[in-house]
Amino acid sequence: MGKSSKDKRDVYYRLAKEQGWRARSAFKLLQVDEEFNIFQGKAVDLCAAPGSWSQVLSRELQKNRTEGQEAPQIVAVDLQAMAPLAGVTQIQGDITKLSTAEQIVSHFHGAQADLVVSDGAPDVTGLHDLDEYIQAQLILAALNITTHVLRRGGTFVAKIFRGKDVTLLYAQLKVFFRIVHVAKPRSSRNSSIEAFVVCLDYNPPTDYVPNMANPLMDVPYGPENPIVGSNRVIVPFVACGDLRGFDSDMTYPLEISDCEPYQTRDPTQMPISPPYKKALELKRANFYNKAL
Amino acid sequence: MSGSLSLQLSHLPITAVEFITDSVVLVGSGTSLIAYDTQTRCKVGKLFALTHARIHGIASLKHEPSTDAARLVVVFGSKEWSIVRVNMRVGGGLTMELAQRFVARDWIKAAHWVFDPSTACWMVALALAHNRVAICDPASGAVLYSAQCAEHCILYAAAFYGDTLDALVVASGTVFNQVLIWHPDLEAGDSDRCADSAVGSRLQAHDGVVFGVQFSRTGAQVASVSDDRTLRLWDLTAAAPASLTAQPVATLFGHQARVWKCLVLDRFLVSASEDGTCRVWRRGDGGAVDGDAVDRWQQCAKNVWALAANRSESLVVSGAADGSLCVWALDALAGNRGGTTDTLAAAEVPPQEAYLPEGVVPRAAEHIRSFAAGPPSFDSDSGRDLDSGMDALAIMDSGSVLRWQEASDSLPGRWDLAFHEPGLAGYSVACSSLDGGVTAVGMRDGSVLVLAGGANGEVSMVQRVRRIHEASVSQLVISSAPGSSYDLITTDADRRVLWSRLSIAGKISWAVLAEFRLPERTHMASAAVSRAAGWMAIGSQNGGLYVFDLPASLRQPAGCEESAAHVLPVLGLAAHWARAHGKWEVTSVVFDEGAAAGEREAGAAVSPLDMSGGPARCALLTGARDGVMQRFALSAGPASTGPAASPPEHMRVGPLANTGDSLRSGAPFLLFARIERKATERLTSGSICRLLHVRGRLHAVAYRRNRLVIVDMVSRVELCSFVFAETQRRWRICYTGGRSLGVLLMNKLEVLHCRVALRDELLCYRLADGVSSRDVRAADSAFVEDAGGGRLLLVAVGGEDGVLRMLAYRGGEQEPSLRPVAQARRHTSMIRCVRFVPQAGAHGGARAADRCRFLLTAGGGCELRCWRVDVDADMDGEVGVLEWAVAPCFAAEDTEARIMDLVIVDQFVEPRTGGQVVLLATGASDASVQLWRLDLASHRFTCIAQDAQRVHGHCVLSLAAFRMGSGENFGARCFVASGATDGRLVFWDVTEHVAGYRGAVSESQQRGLADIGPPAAILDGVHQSGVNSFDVRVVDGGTRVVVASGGDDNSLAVCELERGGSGGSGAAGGLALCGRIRRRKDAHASPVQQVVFTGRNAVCSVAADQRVARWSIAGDASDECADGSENSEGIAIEDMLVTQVANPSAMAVLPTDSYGGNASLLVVGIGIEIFNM
Repeated sequence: MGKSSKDKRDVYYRLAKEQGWRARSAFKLLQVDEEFNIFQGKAVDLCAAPGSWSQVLSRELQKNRTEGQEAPQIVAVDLQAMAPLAGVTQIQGDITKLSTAEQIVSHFHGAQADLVVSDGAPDVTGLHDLDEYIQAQLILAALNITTHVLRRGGTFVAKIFRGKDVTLLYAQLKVFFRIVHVAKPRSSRNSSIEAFVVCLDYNPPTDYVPNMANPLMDVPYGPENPIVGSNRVIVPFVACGDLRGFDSDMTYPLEISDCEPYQTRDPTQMPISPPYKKALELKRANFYNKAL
Repeated sequence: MSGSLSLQLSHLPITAVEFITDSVVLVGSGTSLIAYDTQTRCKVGKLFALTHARIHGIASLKHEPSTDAARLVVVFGSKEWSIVRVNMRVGGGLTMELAQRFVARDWIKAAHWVFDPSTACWMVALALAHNRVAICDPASGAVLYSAQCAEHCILYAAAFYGDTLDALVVASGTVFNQVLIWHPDLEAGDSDRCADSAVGSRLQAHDGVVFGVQFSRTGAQVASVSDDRTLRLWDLTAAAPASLTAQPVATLFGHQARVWKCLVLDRFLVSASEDGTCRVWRRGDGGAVDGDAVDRWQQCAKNVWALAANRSESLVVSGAADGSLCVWALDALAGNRGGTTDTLAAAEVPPQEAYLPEGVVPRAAEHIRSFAAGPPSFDSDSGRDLDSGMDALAIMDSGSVLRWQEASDSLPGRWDLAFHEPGLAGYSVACSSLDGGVTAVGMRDGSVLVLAGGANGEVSMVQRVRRIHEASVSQLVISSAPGSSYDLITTDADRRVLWSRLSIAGKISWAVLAEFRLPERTHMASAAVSRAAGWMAIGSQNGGLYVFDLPASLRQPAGCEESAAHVLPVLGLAAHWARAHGKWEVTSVVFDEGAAAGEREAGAAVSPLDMSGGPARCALLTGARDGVMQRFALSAGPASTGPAASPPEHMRVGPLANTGDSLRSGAPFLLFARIERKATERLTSGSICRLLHVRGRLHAVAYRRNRLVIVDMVSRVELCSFVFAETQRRWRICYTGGRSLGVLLMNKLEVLHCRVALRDELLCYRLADGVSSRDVRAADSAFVEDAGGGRLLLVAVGGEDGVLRMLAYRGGEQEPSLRPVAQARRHTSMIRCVRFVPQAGAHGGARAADRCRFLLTAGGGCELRCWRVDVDADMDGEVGVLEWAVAPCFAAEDTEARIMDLVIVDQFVEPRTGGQVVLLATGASDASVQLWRLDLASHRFTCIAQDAQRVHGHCVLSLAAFRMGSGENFGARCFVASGATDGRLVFWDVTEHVAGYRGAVSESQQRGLADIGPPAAILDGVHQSGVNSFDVRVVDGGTRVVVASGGDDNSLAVCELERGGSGGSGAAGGLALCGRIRRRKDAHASPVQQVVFTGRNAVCSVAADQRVARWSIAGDASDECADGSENSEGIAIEDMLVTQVANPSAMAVLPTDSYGGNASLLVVGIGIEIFNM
């Protein structure tokens, strides 16, 4: 496969490299903002690596800053280390730990965040129900830490998989936010079940006490949450991004008329070492040719 | 009126397996629990064990049941769990009943039966995904005790050990690459705030998420498998305290993708992986594990999910993503069946002094020039199948023939001089029959020497035929024939091919039967004779297939003794197929013994006077260096499809050349030989070296990337694979009797050897067949005439793996079933659409099915293909799938565009040629829409029109075609509609294009690539994002259409259009929206993937949320909505249910109403389900 092969198949992959984003997902957050106007105040990026959303937050919050305002405050949290970004404070930590929440709040000098975003996703196994469950737990963990750091009225944006039991997740999110939308940016492929929940106006139940000791669980099925039929929890769908923009499913020629001439580029951020690194080394050493 | 939706049948990934006796295995597939008996290989029971969750695990109560012989089993999946009672019936069989069904608070990772001494009851221990344990009462489901591990994290895997509550130990495989061993400090009840239980041991060495853990039988060791592609074995007895990290006692690499499951057996470790294989490692007495796998079981292309062993650890059963279920006998592990040649036993040739007769001077450059399987190791007279040692003949360059015999122990074996003939020195080629009965050596002077063994296995018979050829013998083929006789086919540098018959009853008798004439520049590479059917087939070095009919007089096995004096008959070519394998050498031709079973008994040959005495119909298989195996049918018949009538592309015809004089002179007509291509399949990306039958089963020997692989073609199980360099590429296979094949590889002065277990049905078999281990993206169905003249409903599916598969649906009286019957791999990337061409001239009404049907497929790389599908009545009703035509690529080469959908617009018989023509439309990811003309007679796709303006500007996702107006052909107008990722629907009037190609237009008159023209209508914003699917229904006598569409925005939209204005071509007002677009925004919770009309006002939809729904569409939006929900806009839900098909991509109406009852709904994705409507 040639170097330009992925560029041909995926216009946003190419654009991300051209515009210096660490991943194509940067466009997804930008397009969510086009619709919901979410960039303001202090922001937290959960599961930040490789850092494209932090890049977007840094650039856009800087842009939205009015004269005399202090520099935007952005905290990026991830288990993995991430290449440094100007204007972004990094915390290498676990989002299920109370200490991480405390670190975030201490960075904001005791203040709470206006926006929490999370683009985290597990490595999918191919068992859709399991993948959706793990993704839901990741979001609920993100929501749990969010309840410690987000101000009332704040915004939460997270990646979801629109699978079999997604309505249970919607039901849980609706407990904490007045308005929940599901957004599909045009840079997210039509063929992918990925979408983003945009939760506006954080408003936890009056008796809710943030507690990191126990995980938040998705709500069970019951009469209020039927699995089929028209009484399911319904969350409005919003397509984001300019229709005149690029289509992530479309195949474009390498020379796009209003872009600069095409050239192959390396990714802005090379991938971190994968779990199968050793297996890869063995493969290069021809181990698998000999092994049964 | 249609009934409510209900499940009719499913074919889903297998995600759980568990033995409940030594031979009965329970299988979880979707929500159903299926019981198989591995002894009878029958399905013995089925039960829906869970309501809507996929079964992820099964745990049986290992203790023998006391009196009532009922076995208790826990079945779990996501948060559901249930207790199933299995009653074993005396004399086999069983019944399963659902005792209880519960819901846990969290996702269940493992279940285990544990004894509570205080109540003297068996409890169910559940390991939950947040690293928590709940002990539940199996009668009430109540959580009696619970415990929380100190490490609060998400688990991918968990396992239990211990029979009593006190002894219970948990192994947790975490997302943080660790295995935690902990003893749950149980607290009564199900409190959120139970105290943390300390971690006993922290096993930390994996570089990725831990997907599977298992304890050994004693609990002393635990195995784990991970994202890092390894299996690690840990010793718990020696494990360091939790604060320190223990190191694994074994780290096993081998899998080429993630590893999902593992088993720790007393003698073996077994792992199941994403790479579609299971691997087996040997576990020594001291717990030591050899780092090299001893076996590898290839099951499917991707994802073996489930693994279990029976109690006696003699069988392992594995379940995979394609729904296949394999049983493997651990006793059948042959030990060494792979790796490199370094690991093989080597038998070095003794020094020349040791074997050369006295007085013969040793040669400086002595080496094994060729070698052959040795004398027979089984008694061919009695047919007794003795499992004897391997035996080989090394034919040295000097002309010495050395016999090597495998020793019973692992010694190098024994070498003896079998024969010395100085005249053999510098011989040209040698070959032996598969049974080792006869070895032939061809010499440079045209002589052939034959060696055969006597009763004791020694080479006792030698016969030399001098100068049988006038030039150096270049190729030899020997095949066994009945009654200790063999067919020997030899060819020389002058391309002369001779057919001899050898009989070795007591002595070698030799008769040259005939000479075959091959065309110029054609060299024989392989050959086969079927005396029973009366054919001889030769494969050439340049990809050709040559077929000769054998005169009846030569087919009889007798008549070896005479010869010499009489004139050698020269047989002419009956039919040939040049380039049958392109330019690639046809390395193997074999007559299919399976299909030949129905052949007339050998020997009871046909009388030469019999008019039907032409050769019999039979099947021929060819394998070539292109890695492709093809199946041909050979037949003889009258001249109806003689050369003059220009036979169809999949057939080659020639007059029979060698039938008896009486037949030719007395016959009123000539008989012709037909070679009919029935199927073609790429077995490997390397080359096929040989196809052979061993014990009646077809095996293929292939060579790919320095690796020699032997595959059992019935079970598709890989028997062995060796790495050995291309330069060493000399190998022989000998059948040593019994259940093993000897594999011999030759070095300069040594023979490397090993035995490969033939995994016959007893040792390895499939309890259930697989369909596709990747996502299925498209499906369609059609009836074809089956072998008995009835109708067979075929379902064609295609998906991510690029393989087109045909499934046979059986319904009606019997329990409905879907069985894979054929497959073809020609697409190089994903198949996105599959459509049968409707029956020619079918205008409704009951009609017999066609003999053959045509099918169109398209997908990635802009590949568009036509296939011919038929059922061969003469070949056991085998379904043939043949590539018929390939469209030229229309997109610019550097765009990697994909065809997203295709639709058939029209079809007709061209009056001039009488050939069938299909007009179709495709939509592609580069925003283009094309119209194609497919001429079935000339196998040609021609792109006739394209959307030059790229009106969509976005990736096209879906297409439909319909016809409005009345009147034959030209009174009506043809439309194509397309939907794209921007939510826009575009309607194109293609009437002019259709008309232009319907008339008697000659090829030369055809226009070049036209523009489809301006759209007849554009509907913007039908959906907020992609129009994933839509269906069109023409109503009101062709004046209006109803369009129902499903979008990526979770919604269902309905709109109506009518003919506006004159409808002239090019007029944008050709179609006009009447009323507004009605939308049911909350139709689904995720992208709607397919919408089809199933009735006048009924639409069915399927979405990524795994819901299948039926909607009724009211005449207009103001109508009261049946389900009472707001904003329903007259689109009312009638029925909705959950499908277990994950990522459902397509849906089709299956015409099962012809079996009585209603039509059904077919849903495909990861798995297949069929619903009653």
